[in-house]
Amino acid sequence: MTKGFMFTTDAMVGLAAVIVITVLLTYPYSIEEGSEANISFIKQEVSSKAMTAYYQGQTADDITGLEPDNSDFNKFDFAECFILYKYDFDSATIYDQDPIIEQKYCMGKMALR
Amino acid sequence: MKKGQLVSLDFIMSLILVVLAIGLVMQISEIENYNFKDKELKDETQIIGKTAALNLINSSKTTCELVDVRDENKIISYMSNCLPEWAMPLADCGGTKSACKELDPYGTNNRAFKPILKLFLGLPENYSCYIKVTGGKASGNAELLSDCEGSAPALAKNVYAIDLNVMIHNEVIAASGKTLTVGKAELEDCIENGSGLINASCYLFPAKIKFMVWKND
Repeated sequence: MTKGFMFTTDAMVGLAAVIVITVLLTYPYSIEEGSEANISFIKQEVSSKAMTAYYQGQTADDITGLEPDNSDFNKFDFAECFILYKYDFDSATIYDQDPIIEQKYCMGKMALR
Repeated sequence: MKKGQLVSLDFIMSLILVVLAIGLVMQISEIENYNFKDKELKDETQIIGKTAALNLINSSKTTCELVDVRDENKIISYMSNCLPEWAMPLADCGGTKSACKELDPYGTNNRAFKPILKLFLGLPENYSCYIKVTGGKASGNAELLSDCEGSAPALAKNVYAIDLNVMIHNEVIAASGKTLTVGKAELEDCIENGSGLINASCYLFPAKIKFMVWKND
């Protein structure tokens, strides 16, 4: 370093490295913040769609955007299932079967990019 | 640098850098402060809006009542995501909408419908709401009586908005305009044979509600 010269290449490289590391460390946090809102929205949407479908005697197959199970969940960034249990009196009394029938309404969504 | 010389080029440059650094730090802290306050307001609106939306479709003060076949005053359960339509004639309801809202909001006098009051949604005085119903009838849009605003906010900065799927019950019992009770047999019929859109003996109709909440300036 020349006498009286303040800025060296080392200092510049060091500064650049600090900036890059800071950005890399804070990036996952900024993504995390957004996904919380998305999960909350999907929870509300799936339960509201499932309840209205149930009142009309519809299954997940009858409703656009709903799936009857979670087998495709790996395709999505956010996914949620809402499960309703119906008690079928005839199953228990006439057919001697389990009267509790599980009805699943699932939904998956991709994150906005 | 000569002996006795106080101000060198390095000194001036470092002074400039220090001033710039202080300025930058102050600017960043000011922006951070503004962002924090903005986020605080946004978060508050989100939480209050989300709670209000949940109350709208789940609270016993706003939802349909599933009643016993033998006694319609005996409530079996409150039906989440089911709202009774406001079908009472104004003349029987105090003459005006505001009188109608105050008629019997707590149901102490065998009420006919449930007004959607900000109080029931858990909204503080300085918050406003907007409800728009699409569908909920065999044709046209069902009407709900609420003390929310008549139009969506034009200038509000932070608005919580959500689309909700609901069922609107609009079976009017006799001339009373009573729509809030759903008989167990009727619900079973709807589940078995479909909503009122395809089943004449079911009075539950699917509807979409656009619900907005914002803080008044």
